[in-house]
Amino acid sequence: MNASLTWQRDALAVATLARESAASGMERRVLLLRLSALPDELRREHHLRLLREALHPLLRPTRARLYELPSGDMVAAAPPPGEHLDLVAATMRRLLSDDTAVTEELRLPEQAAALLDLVAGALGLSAAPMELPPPAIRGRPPTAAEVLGAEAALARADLEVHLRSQTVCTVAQGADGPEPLWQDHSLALGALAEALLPGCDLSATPWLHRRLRSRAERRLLALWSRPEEVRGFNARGLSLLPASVLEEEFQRFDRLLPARARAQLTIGFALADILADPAGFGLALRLLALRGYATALDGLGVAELPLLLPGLFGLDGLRLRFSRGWLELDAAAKAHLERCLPAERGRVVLAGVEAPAAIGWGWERGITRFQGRLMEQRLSAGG
Amino acid sequence: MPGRTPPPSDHAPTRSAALANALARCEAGQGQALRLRGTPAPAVAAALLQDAAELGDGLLWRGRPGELWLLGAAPAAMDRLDSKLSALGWAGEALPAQGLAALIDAPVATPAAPSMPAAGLEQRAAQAPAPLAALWRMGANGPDVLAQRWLADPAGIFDGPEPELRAHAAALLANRLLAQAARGAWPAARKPHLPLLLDMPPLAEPPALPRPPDGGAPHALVLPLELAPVAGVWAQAAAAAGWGLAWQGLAPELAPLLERLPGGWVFTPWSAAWPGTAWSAPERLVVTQLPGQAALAHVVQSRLAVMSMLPT
Repeated sequence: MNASLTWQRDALAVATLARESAASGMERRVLLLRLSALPDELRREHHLRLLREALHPLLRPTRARLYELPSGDMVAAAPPPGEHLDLVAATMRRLLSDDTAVTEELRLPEQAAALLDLVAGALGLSAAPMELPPPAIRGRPPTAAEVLGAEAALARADLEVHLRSQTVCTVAQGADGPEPLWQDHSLALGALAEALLPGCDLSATPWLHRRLRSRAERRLLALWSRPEEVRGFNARGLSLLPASVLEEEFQRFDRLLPARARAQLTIGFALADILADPAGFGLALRLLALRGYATALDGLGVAELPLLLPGLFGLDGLRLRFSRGWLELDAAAKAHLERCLPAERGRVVLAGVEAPAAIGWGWERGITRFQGRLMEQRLSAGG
Repeated sequence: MPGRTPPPSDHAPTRSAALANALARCEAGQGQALRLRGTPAPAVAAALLQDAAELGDGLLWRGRPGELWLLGAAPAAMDRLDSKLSALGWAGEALPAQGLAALIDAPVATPAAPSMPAAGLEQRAAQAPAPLAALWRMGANGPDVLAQRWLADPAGIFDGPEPELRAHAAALLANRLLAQAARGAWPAARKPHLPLLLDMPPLAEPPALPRPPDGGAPHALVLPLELAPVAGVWAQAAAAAGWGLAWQGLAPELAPLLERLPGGWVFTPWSAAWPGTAWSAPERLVVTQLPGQAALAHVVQSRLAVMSMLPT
């Protein structure tokens, strides 16, 4: 059967699935891989073949089905609980440089209309250019007791699936390509929370969100304390809540980690987390300095620039999160940024780099350390 | 009993062999004893004391709730521990060998278990009375009351040790205060000639805001410090509804941020670092959670504003 016929057959099958689910209430978890959203250079036939080769073994032992749409997008559908789709999503995000816009999860029958729209778009039946389906209706805020219940499930969850990593690289002007420095790790809290508390919206209860995050971070630290992890410890970065540094899991990790390895670990704190727990932050900072870890102000966005202070609240480094807003700073904001950036620019990383414009903006400020999808693509191309 | 020293008499307490050995080292002058109480990070404190115990041939003893003891450690290990503790802003209490055994054997009071757990928090938040607090500063003729604060105080609905759940309980109460204010149901003990400060939940986007009560302006919404990055949006929404802004949660660690916070009053909990902190605008500060007379005296002498709870 030629490819075109396969695509059309699959598109009809997805449309039928959506309609039947809406009519009967049959539940399905659907993972949408929007490969059409990838840049052209990542969408060549051999890339797609590699993706299929990665996908099929993941789906084979399950009851999930994979469909390919004429737009190039793929749809994996599984009956609930469909937990293996989390693994598929995580694997795809790793392969696609953590681009969360490329993977999207839908739930049937609630989002059957969105899935049908998507199929229509893929078949060229919609006049407007294909757009992301509307965001799912926000869930209700969870109760404190529900979050405590989710903590029990977290103890059994596969945390590795929700761990994301990107390489921090040096990109010097005139150099051939990025030079890897260390891996930066973070937990994909959104996906984890959705898996543990489906249908709940933790953004409405920020302190319950912090509670769950703290428990996930503590579990991650416990995983990192395994002998094989400690033995193979390499330079890395990790964003934590200040309170996580003060917990037993970090103390245990710290006791097991060789002293020389501590300086290779950069613990990052987001400004919002510092503001939410200033006293905990102060204590965590003193402890990390005492034990010889590197620290950083993590993921500072342009909206937070007015709160940035020279001296970085006592932290060693700064990780800026790039967005178009940085290109549009007025003179006063630029001067403020310049005052606050550490003179030693090696202490600054520009994250969220997706286009060369970000590197150019960084170079203008003497920044040569970068992180983001563009770096991952260049490293893959070079490797 | 294997591993335990036989009690010398029927009334003598039973100690483990390790504890008896550590005590004996202290009493023989070979080791020292230190007690650490009420640290904000018990896991960190325990790790430091354990390190010192291993280094100095001592024992980390957790025989009393809320306390960590290091017994029988060599002086050099004790000195190193001391410098680590002071780097964290803590101080251990050196215990003389004389009387140590009696301290160890003193009866232990079991702390009361929390009576208001996380389950049912939302229901309790919907019903609990919300207290009013007074802001005052010592004037020439006694305290001048400057404003009242309608407070989302979680103490009445949650008494567990978990800080995130306590903060969540405060957010639930703040949501309820907001709903009450929207209905014009202001607290009965409110003094109409005083400004009213109203606690807000930690929402990045301001919700629909009620108009302030009549009289006593300028009134202000009290934002938790983590909303500082969205201060501009909140300031706009608050001004449109007739409120100013105040802030809750600034600590000495972030003192330089004071000048970046728009609005008026800034509530800061008392801590040991408070007296040594240089604040750019101390007239904006309201000190909360004063632990005792010495702290109160410092605050009053410095002409700082203080928050006190009013009887409900």
